[in-house]
Amino acid sequence: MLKQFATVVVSLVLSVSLTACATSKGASPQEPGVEQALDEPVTFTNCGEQLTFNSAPQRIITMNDHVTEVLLELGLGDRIVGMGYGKAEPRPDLAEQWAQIPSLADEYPSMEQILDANPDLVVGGMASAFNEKEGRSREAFAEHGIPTFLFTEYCSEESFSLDALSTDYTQLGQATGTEDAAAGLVEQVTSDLDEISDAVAEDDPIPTFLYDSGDAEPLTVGGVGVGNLIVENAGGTNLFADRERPYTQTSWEQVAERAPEAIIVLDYGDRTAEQKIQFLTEHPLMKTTPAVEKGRFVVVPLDDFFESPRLVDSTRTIARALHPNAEI
Amino acid sequence: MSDAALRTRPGTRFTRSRVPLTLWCLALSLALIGVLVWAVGSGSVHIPSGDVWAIVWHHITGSVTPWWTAARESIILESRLPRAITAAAVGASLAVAGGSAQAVTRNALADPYLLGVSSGAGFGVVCASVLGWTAGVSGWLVTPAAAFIGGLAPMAVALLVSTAVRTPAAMILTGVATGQVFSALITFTLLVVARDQQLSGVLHWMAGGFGDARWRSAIIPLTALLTMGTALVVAGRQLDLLHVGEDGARALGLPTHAFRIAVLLAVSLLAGCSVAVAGGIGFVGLLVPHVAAMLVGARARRLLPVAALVGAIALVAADTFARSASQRVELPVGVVTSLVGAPIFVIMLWRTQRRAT
Repeated sequence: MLKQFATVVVSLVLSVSLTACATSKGASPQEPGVEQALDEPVTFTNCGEQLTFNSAPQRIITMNDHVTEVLLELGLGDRIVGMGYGKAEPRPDLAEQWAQIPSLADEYPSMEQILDANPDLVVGGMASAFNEKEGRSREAFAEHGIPTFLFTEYCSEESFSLDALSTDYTQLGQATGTEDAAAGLVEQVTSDLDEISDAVAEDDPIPTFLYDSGDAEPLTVGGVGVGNLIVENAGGTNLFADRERPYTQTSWEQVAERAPEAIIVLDYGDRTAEQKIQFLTEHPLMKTTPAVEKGRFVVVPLDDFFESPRLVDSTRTIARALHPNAEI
Repeated sequence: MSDAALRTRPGTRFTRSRVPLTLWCLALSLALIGVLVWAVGSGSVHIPSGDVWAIVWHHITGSVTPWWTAARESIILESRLPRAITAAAVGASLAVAGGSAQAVTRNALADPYLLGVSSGAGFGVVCASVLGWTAGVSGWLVTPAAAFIGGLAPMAVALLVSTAVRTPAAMILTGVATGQVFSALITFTLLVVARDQQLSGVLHWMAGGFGDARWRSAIIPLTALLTMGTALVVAGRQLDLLHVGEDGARALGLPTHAFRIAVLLAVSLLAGCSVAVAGGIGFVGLLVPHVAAMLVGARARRLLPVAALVGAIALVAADTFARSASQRVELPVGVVTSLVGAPIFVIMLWRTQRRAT
């Protein structure tokens, strides 16, 4: 009986100590990390979640490429411990810092991978970054005590404006102690965009159709979101601005009926831009549009179509194509 | 023969009307023309019917000076017309295939995909998408080809099994099993291997639709219907023999096993050609033969042609509704056929059963 008692006690002690080891391993930080206190606690609401920061985050995980780029522009390169995706071409001046950031997964990292990296802030650029079905909802992160930030392009149902971009960058700047860099970034984007829209202001806006993808039904850009903002500033009218989603399905009949004079092709994925243009040129309904008749296509990489400073690049490209006589 | 005996035949659960076959065919043909007219005049863009028929007349005779835009002409002639005709051909194919499948398996719940054709076709399309083959400009050719070849795979497996195990149930059970295997493979590939962008395209295809129907796509189901469909109607007398039972049919000189295999192959080919062009559209092959049986009785040579007409009408109507219900979005046709067809069928069944008891 003593032997049985001893066995029970020993196994209890072993299991308790093993469990303690396991939990403490997860709890201890990978590196000590220098705590950077903010002047005063920062509180704001981002996409419906209230966030409070007492100290600036030191271990940031970025879920999308354009988010990574924005944070690099804010000078947070040494504080990003991991990124999702990571296959985009960064701007040349950011390439070196980009190469140093480990890519956690081909697409989004799993919740386990994120927890393993022990972040104190996770920033997402699209709603799918915080997919509930895959266990990465913002509530799930909150339960683990990790604040999350979502770019408002994907959480608002109102028209996207530069104010929303300004709010996002300013809030990020406040939370990370980089207000100056954030203000500078917002100022740069705003003034660059104003310069382009001023240059095309005199000419009539060109009716434009944006083609993302789709054979039987085309996927186009709606009136909400960055895409619409880009087209408006470039001196065009998005023919599907009446749809209240960033991306929306429509029919070829509708596109042909609305007779676009220019077509913007979003370049990404398996099908190259040339293949998309050829498909549109051969489509019996699209053949009747002025855009296809005159061969007026503009190709823009999808990477330049998000809530990041790159949207200026795509605006400039489109403006130059729609208004070749304007000085941009 | 008494009234009661005329009204119900052994082997059918439904009463049939006393209207002769030719009258039904005439009435249904007129209804089909009417539905095609409606289909060409409807869509997400509102075109006045005067313009629609002027465009068609101008295309045939060239005697009208056009006042309409090239876009509208293209919408009518290059989009709506081939789309309506493709839908009619596919609807007729699925109905004939379904009716034959139900006759040869003597199972009222059989459908044209009973050998796993739609899952196999779906897997073919998924593989082609994931490998990037559908992305190129010849994608319009790759997708139907991949669907057709994929649909043949379960058929080949079922055929192999039937050479070893010579019971009627073996082929069908194999078909069910391979269908499940391919369904699982589809799910696996979509969730694990495919990238986000490919997902949307594949799911759209699987929901079924005629959005990319052109004149070149109408040829495939039309050819299948004319060849396989006619063959099945001609074999109608032999199909009826199977009702007498396995031994009885064999005693009457029918090589039941070989015949059954031939019919199921024809059914799968018809289904494969439909799926290749239109994706997975369910319910039509299952329900329409029952509707036709309610009209003209269960004898194959009466049932199959009527089923073809009813199937064509049903699918053209479903497709027209699917694309003109809302200006903003085109509903998948498969959704419409299920949501609309099922309640109508339940009502018809209830009324028929009430009359019979």
